[in-house]
Amino acid sequence: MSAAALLESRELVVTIADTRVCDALNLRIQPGECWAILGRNGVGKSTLLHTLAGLYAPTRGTIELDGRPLSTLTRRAIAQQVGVLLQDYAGIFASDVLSTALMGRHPYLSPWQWETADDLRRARHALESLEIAALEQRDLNTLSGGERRRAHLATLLTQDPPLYLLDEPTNHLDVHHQIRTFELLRNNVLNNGKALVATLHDVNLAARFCDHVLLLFGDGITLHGATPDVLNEDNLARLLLHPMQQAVSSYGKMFIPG
Amino acid sequence: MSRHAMSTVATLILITPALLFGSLLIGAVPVSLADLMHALSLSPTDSSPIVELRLPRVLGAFAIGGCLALAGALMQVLVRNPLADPYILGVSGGAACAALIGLWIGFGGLLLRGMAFGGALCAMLLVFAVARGRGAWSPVRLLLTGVVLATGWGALISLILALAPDTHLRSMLFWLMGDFSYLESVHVEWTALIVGLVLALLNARDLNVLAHGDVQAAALGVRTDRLRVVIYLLTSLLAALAVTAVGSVGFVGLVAPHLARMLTGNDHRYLLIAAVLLGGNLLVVADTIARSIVAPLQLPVGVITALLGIPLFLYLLRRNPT
Repeated sequence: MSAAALLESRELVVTIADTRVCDALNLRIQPGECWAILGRNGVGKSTLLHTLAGLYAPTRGTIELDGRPLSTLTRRAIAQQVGVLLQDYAGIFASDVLSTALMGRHPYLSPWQWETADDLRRARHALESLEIAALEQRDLNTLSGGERRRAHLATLLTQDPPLYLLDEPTNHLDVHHQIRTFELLRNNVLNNGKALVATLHDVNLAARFCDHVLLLFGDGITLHGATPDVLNEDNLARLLLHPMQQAVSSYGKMFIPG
Repeated sequence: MSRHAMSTVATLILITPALLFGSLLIGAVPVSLADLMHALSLSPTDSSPIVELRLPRVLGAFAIGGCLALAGALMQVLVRNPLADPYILGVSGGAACAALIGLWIGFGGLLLRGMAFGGALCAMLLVFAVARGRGAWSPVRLLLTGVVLATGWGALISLILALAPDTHLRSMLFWLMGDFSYLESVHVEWTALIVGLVLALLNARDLNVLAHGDVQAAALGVRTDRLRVVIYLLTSLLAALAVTAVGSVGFVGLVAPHLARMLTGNDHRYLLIAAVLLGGNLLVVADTIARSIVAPLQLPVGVITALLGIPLFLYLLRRNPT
């Protein structure tokens, strides 16, 4: 018998407005796995990700974190297990990069506790690994889109949960930082027995860095499995409603839009 | 940043007693420092006019300024709008309507304060019930509901002023602009300020995260619904208490939190303390001017806070275009 999955969904039905995102979805995400969620605009990738994080209520079905039903856990307990990178952030007041990263320790501190030297060390380490240590005193509003994206990723790395849920993590990032960030996250997953689920538009990032893929076709139709089994020209053309041509590079299979 | 914020808070703490002392010396009857020290050292049974009249007024002004600044800082996070003040959701409108009716009937003292507090509570519960509806408690919905109801209270106030007999108009207008002459005992205000500040500080890190957005806060383990209700109740009660004590004193609740943000940054653990100290001191200074500049006449303190506050605020807006 295998150990409890980090996250498991049973017969999960998710709907938003008139859109059916998934119908009876059974996912099992184990330590060491990297998952990509692919699909067209508006099929509900973000909604599904939010549902897995307990931020959106499913229509039916259950989600378990480490064998415990999500619905029985407090927000704080969930935040110690699951970290979420959102697609957009809506800060109203100025906040510097270091404080933003340090926010990742929030789930572990009680109301009267202050961040410790260790928390500060974790935050600084996250900034270094994302190559924004030099910006630690800068206000988020003065950063470029890609720098701001990495500042929010730093919050997540500082939070350091067993499961990462990332909503289009490579948005605004230049090519170097797209690859660098994914390498960083994947190494973290492989070396520390964590797992990662990312919604993506770049099929090739999924092909290169993710060992599992979940395709959302819309109307509740889904397909998931190991990347080599699922990612092929036929499935992608049906998924994206656009012809995709397979090519081979030294990094493995690639897909080029037709 | 935190080092700078800490030294700012320390400086404000050091300035406060000096300002309070200074304010006790100035007034219709100037007092020397020696007289003041003598008066403060007397036993409660044979106290002097300074201790009986001026001390509660100065201490009251500080507590109310602090309450308004704290309520303003919290409200700005609650409705996600940096231009929010404690009255934006109509708490002061409800209090004013009830108080004006009280003045019309001929109430005074505790009865009038009771009326005003009842009115504030009504306004608060009305916004709470309407804005909550069935769905989620979104900041925009809360803000719109509050602003619309506040406009309604404004119309009612105009109606009362239009119908009220001339003999009552002066006291009504004074009440509306903020009148400190009713301040006698300040225990309630100080208790509210201290309890409110402690409660707010216990939620300060939650507020920091909430300022980054509701979903982000929830993702980092904050129970945003509960937090919003706590802040709403705390903010409304602080504003209700302040309005009940002295009428609607404007601008302290808007300017003090912004001054605090500029001086300490946006970490609420420093910001809230700085806002309370700034708001308290600002109102002490304004009230000192109001009661001394054309003594023995007294100006409504709301006029002074607005005259000090408007240029200061416009200056801040020009300096920070965002």
